[in-house]
Amino acid sequence: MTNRQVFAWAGFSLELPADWNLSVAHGDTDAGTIAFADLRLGPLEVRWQSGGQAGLARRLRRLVGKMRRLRAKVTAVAGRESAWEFDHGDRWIVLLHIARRLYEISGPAGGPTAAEILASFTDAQNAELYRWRVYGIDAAVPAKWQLKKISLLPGASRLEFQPGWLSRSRLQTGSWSMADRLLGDASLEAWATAKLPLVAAHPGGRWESRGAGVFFCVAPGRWPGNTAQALALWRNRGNNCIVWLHTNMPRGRSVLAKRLLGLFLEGRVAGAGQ
Amino acid sequence: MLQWLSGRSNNEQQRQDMLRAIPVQNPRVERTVLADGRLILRGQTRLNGWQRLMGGRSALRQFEIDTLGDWVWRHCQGDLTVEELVRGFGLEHAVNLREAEIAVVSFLNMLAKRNVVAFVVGRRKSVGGRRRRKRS
Repeated sequence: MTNRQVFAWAGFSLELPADWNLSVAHGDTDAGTIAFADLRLGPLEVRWQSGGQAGLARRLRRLVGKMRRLRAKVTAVAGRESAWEFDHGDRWIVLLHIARRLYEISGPAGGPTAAEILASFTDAQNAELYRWRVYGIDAAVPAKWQLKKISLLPGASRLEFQPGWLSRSRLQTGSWSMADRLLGDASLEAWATAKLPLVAAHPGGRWESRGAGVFFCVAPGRWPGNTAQALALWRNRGNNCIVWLHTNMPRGRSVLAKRLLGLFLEGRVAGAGQ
Repeated sequence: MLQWLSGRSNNEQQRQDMLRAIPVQNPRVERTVLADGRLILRGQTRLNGWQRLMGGRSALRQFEIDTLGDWVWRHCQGDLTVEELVRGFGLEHAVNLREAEIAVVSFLNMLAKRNVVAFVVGRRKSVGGRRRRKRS
């Protein structure tokens, strides 16, 4: 196991020590917060807020002025435009303005330093697909789709996306921990047939092996407006988890669904989102 | 933004205190493996408020645990902190530390509510904890 890991979320990514895990996540691609923690140190947080470039630049100036009034040690980050670092006693804070987003990254003293985080921090807010990488999940999702649900329970993580409130299209991705205990000696296909309601409810579904995983497809019904469902599963041996991606989309989006499932199963998400 | 300036709650301190605590088995509770392989913890445990009002003092109770719970129970010998248990659980079962922390801490809390384990807080680890058990 490597001692570093990459997290990707809502159009940005950063690298952290392997001991640090996502502990809090809320918000969407426009504004939100994620926090990481290890067993000894307080949270390392990333907050982001979208808006007009001029408005965000004004906001950044105001926040920098506020920090100066508090007599915090304020320094411009070398090698990055519109980036300021503050030393606030037991924490460091970095404010970073990139295009239409303002990021605030703060971490505890004694953990990863601001320089380490900034060296690995990448912003891909203008990409067509956003990469979501956490807890073994590594999926590409269209940038315009909204994150509707986040569930980070021990043993089962799930993210759900939807293009808009009224859309019938859905994309869910997630992971189940302890794959060795879940699967035992069974294959992914046999396990899914026995345990997953989607597979059990569609005995006429078609299985295919693709890349490192398996792919289950249910053709749309005869009624106009029916959606096609597809489920991709693969076993992430490094994280000892089963990772899955489920698409439920009408016929008009079948090309997009195939592309997302293909990227997921062939492990080419990194190239698509970053 | 910059919410760190307004201060934080003491949740993080409570979490750190919890991780530094040392869980110790109740010596009156014993682990039994049934003929069908199920694992049972059985022992005299304290009664709840209502039962004490009715005049009882203690009762023989038992409950079943799975192999993951058994791993945690077997390591509550007074020589490992909760943090060390969490790290060990994560390594043993190849799960990340956050999942291991939630699983171990919630299981220990459940054991503590049933008086099956107690937490030693604020003292150094017992060097002779395991040795004392061997002698008995």
